[in-house]
Amino acid sequence: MTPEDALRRRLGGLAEQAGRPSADGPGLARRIARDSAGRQRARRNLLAGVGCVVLLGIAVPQLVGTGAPDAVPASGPAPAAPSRIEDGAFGTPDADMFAGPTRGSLSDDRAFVDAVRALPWTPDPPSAAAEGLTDHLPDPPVETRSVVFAGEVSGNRWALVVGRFADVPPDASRLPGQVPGPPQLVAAWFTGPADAGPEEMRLRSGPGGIVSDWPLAVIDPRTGALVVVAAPGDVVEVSERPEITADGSTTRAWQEVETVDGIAITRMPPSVQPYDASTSYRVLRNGRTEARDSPWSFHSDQPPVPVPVEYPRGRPSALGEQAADNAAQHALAELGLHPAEVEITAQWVGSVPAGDVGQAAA
Amino acid sequence: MDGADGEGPGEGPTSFPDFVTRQQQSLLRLAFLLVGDRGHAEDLVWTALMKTYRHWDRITRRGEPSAYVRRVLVTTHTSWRRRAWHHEQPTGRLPDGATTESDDRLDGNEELRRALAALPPRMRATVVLRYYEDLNELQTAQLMGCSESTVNTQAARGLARLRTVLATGPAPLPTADHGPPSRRREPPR
Repeated sequence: MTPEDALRRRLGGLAEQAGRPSADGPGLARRIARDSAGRQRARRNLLAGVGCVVLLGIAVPQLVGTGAPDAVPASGPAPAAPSRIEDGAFGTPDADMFAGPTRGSLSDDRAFVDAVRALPWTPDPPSAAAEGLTDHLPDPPVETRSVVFAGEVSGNRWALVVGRFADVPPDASRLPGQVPGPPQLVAAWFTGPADAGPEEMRLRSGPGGIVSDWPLAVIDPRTGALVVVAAPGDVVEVSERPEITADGSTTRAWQEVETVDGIAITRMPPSVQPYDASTSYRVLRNGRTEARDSPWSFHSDQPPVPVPVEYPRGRPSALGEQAADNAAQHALAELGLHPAEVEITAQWVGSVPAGDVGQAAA
Repeated sequence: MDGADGEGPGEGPTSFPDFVTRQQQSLLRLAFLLVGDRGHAEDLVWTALMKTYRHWDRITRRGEPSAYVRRVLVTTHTSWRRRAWHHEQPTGRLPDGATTESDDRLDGNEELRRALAALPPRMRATVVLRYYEDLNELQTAQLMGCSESTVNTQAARGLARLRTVLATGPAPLPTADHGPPSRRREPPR
């Protein structure tokens, strides 16, 4: 038996451990249809609202006689870079939160925006990608990209670039029976120092897949700088961390932050961890929570602050200590707490046999 | 959207409910191999079906939707990693036990599950698509959104890593060095 055949057999055996689905097929289909219909209603309401705003924007200037077509000030925002996302070649009929002109304080700098739009996305040498250490998403074609945001954030320059690629090899269209894949919307965040030229902008987060009707945010754990990209008119609220009450329930305190054209820039408390996992944001539209998510996080190079763990029932092996340290670091990152604020005790350490599906280890 | 108020768009063997009934089990198994956890696997299947439901009529007009749905499932899995890699990671086992005695009682499936989980996600997906879904390199490349050579490289390295890890397990893979998987072409399914 070849290694490939042996692996096929073993994978088949492992896959059977998935067990039977918890819902029957028709029941699952009904639930999906119901949830999808609910989302579509919300989307239609949003589009209707946007349509009303557009109509008002057209009608009001004409009624008051200020609708001269050449009334655009010379210092106004630069027109949007030509974008395949906008012209419908790759676009979807849904409201696209990332379409439209570049937003942010640097949107006027057309040369900067155009250069950032063309920056390479590949963060790793090919060898790393070949190892599977990165997702190695190919760079989306430049003509499909748009700079959604370019602005000054905490004294530095940040930019969000969004592109599309139908991740199908170029020769796939010649193959019979192939199903074309969905175009994929992908995003990447670039940052640079104050007054950075485009050549100084570096990929800091992504590329990663996004969806057009869901907001996107990113946070720098070192400084706490947070940018949320939502639709113009959306209300953005942020929460620093979950709060656990005495009865064990978890709550969050939300604070509204100012938005300009749907972009919220704010500062959260810096994290001592290399990444942020406690911050959350939510987007409200017409008084209704439209989305809630955690921001993408830059990764800082600073080592994590050690978390002391007490072992009242004896110390485990070095491997066990490492597991406890990792768990403690993870818990503190999720809770947004400094190690000095907590006492962590490993009440018990040991191994739990859990060989069967449905059993859990504690 | 078509069929939004009913069980789903389409009629007959390519109707959405029929597809879900036929494919739910196999999608769950594929998702289980990708994420290594039953709960996440069900979430992944649900999300992939939710994404495809909206365009079901258009998808089925182009042919059998299985490949499309699997592609969405794989790309959704990749997207989840991007967004939620630091979130809750439910597991049936502690990631590192205080002692290693339980390792002696691990069955072959658990060994393989751990070995798969230790692979980088793209490599894991490549291995699963090539050797579980039995796709050829071109089909795998289409699903993964990469080149055939990348699939070839990742599959070979994934196989090598699994061979190393599983060599000490209860049902080790043959240790003979067969080199990278052959670039044989199988007919598209």
